Amino acid sequence: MQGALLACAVLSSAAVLLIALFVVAEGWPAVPGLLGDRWSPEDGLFGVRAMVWGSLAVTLGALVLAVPAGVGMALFLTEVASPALAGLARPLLQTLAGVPSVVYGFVGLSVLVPAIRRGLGGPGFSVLAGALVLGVMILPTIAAVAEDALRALPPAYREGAAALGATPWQTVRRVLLPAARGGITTAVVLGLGRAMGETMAVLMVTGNVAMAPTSPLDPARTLTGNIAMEMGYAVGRHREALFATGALLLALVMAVNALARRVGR
Amino acid sequence: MRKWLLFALVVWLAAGCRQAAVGLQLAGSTSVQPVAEVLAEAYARAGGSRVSVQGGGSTAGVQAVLNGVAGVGAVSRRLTPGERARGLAEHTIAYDVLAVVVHPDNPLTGLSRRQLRAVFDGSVTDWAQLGGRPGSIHLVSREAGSGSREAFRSLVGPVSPHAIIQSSSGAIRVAVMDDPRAIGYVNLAALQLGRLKALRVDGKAPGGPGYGLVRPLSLVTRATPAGEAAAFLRFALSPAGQQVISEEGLVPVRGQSKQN
Repeated sequence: MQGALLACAVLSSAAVLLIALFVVAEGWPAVPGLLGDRWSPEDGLFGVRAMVWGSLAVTLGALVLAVPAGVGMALFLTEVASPALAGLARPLLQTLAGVPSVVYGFVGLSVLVPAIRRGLGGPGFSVLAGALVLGVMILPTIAAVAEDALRALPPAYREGAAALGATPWQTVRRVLLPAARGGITTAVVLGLGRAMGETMAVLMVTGNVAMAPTSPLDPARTLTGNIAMEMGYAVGRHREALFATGALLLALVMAVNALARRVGR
Repeated sequence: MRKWLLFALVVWLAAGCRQAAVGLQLAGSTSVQPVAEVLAEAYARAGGSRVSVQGGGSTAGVQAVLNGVAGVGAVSRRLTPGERARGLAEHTIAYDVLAVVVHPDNPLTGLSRRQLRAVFDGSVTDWAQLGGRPGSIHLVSREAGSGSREAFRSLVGPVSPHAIIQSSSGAIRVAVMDDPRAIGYVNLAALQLGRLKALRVDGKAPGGPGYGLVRPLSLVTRATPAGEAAAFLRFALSPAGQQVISEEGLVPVRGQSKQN
């Protein structure tokens, strides 16, 4: 029994290590060229700086939208809603988490992109469209983890605040949120990791221009989108550069996870 | 018992190795590569031997046939007289027609190839410069490595790095049919789905006689193809092979009489 369980553990950790090893080994020769600011496979240029900016812009945009909404949702579920209402809202949130990303992308492409183009100008394919789609996608993650953090607080905190005559808003702002800070930060970092790794939905709405965006209405290409789009026929150095992009992405996601473990403690 | 299992494993692995043996090597143009891969699958399903498809470019494909590394080469250009003199023959299996498309509300009906080049390299940025309704031009292009993009680059010119990138003709169609300021290029299959307006190029309609944005896609063999190479070529030109080609959005060289 113990042996079988050990085998399971070894298998899953070996999978991670092997993937990381493979990606780094395949991409190694292209690593020096990765720092350049132009990505133009036809000219032999494989700099991913613009994509790093693209990924960061879209991810941060998503967090700006999803963190207040997600934490607000968690506060609503724990502090405001009656158990019956919370029981109704929670499954809806879970459903949101289960929608496949290509569906988000398709809705974004058919609704958001034309709306942004008509309402705000530009081509519509933009950082903003990507951030909106991603924000909705990571909202359930952030809300669920933040809700757990708030629920884990001892009732004495709320009772003590009430006994001191604090208003509900004062209780939330001065007592509950500071006390649940660790759990909420974990929620944010998990959302961040998910946003950075998401591919399909972002690819469909950001326009994939390999240049650093200078406004939310500019198109942008993410690291994930870069791989997904060009892997089909990439050979030689181009293929190595895509693996190197993957290695960079892996390193970023690992850094985010390490951060999540540290702040979660 | 264990020994038997080991023995069975070895036999199974050995059998696997034999199955992986390749009957025919095909190398060449990356524009032909996608359709060649689909053709190779269909060929294997129809009982043919396994065909291994590799890219590398038209010239590399010709070279591979010349020095015997590949039985069949793939080119997206005509053979040069020099190449033909070295005992090679080209067999056109399909035409790649690129249509330049805009939103149906765009008042423009056509562009010269020179104007098209200026639009896509980014030196012309406003529709007013082309006699259209004022407004910035939204370029939509395919991703690096795609055959359509390569064809566009060789027939028209470079593509500005500011162009929106979509990774299929279908996605370009969706981007252009929603945006009155967009311009893109698609293959004929995507054009035929409708809701796009194809521009005339140098006064010619896409698919019609004299239209410029067309490339022949050909297989290259020794002057008298034999064995596996001849069999694969026959399949590519057979009704089944040509059906596969038209499903890939290319214009088949045979069987157009049915449509007329």
